[in-house]
Amino acid sequence: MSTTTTQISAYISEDTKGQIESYVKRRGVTKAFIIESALQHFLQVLREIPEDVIIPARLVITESSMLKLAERLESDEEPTPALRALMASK
Amino acid sequence: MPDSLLVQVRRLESHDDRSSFCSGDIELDRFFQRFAGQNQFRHYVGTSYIADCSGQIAGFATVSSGEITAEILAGIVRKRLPDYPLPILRLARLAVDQRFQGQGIGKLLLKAMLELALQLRDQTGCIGVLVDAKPTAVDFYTKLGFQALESVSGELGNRPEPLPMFLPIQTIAKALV
Repeated sequence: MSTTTTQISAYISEDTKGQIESYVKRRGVTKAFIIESALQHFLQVLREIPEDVIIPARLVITESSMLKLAERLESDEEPTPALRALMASK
Repeated sequence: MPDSLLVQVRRLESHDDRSSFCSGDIELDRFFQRFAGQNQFRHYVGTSYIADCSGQIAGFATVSSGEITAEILAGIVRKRLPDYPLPILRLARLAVDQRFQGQGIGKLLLKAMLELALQLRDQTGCIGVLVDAKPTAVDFYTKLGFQALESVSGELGNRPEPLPMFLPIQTIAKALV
């Protein structure tokens, strides 16, 4: 890794920013260290594994889809007969 | 599944020979033969489970823990959900070797992954299972209760493009009762 540094600017989600700040507090490292380490890990994986075989860690869905998901999580949804049969199978 | 077929679902080990696995799907076979090991043992970005049939790999399923979030959340939704991304188990790939197709291996692997999600719920938190369903598998997953999600980003880069589908963890748990 080069010792010469430069600055980048990027828009990231509030969630990710919160996670970075929480990690910094807990571990006593700098944000720059986390960002550079994360980027290096990501780029190394991309060099060794094609992008299409990587499983993205986060799925971002539309607000309407999230609303439906929230409704499902709150409902007492019955399993379908096919799911019951699957889970009962040996 | 025929009674005579003894199958154990277990984690892929580095010594397992993946070279002769052939499901008939070029992308899935390429992934399993060339990249499932690197993903799991070197980069820790996904774990594969195999159906071991007397030392032969009858099928595999690759999962990863992940999260679902929404790009923009209205106040009404925000109040109903925790204020952080929702943890899930993502079933990204599942394939059965041609020699074992039609014998219930795929269902056995799927059941094992749903049980794994229940373990995750208890150990680290998991609100449900996300599958990246190939177009030909959408009906199968729909019958099991999975419903499509409308994604903005984070889709699997496979072709044909898979459809993200979700099943809540409490529904899986109820199916065991």
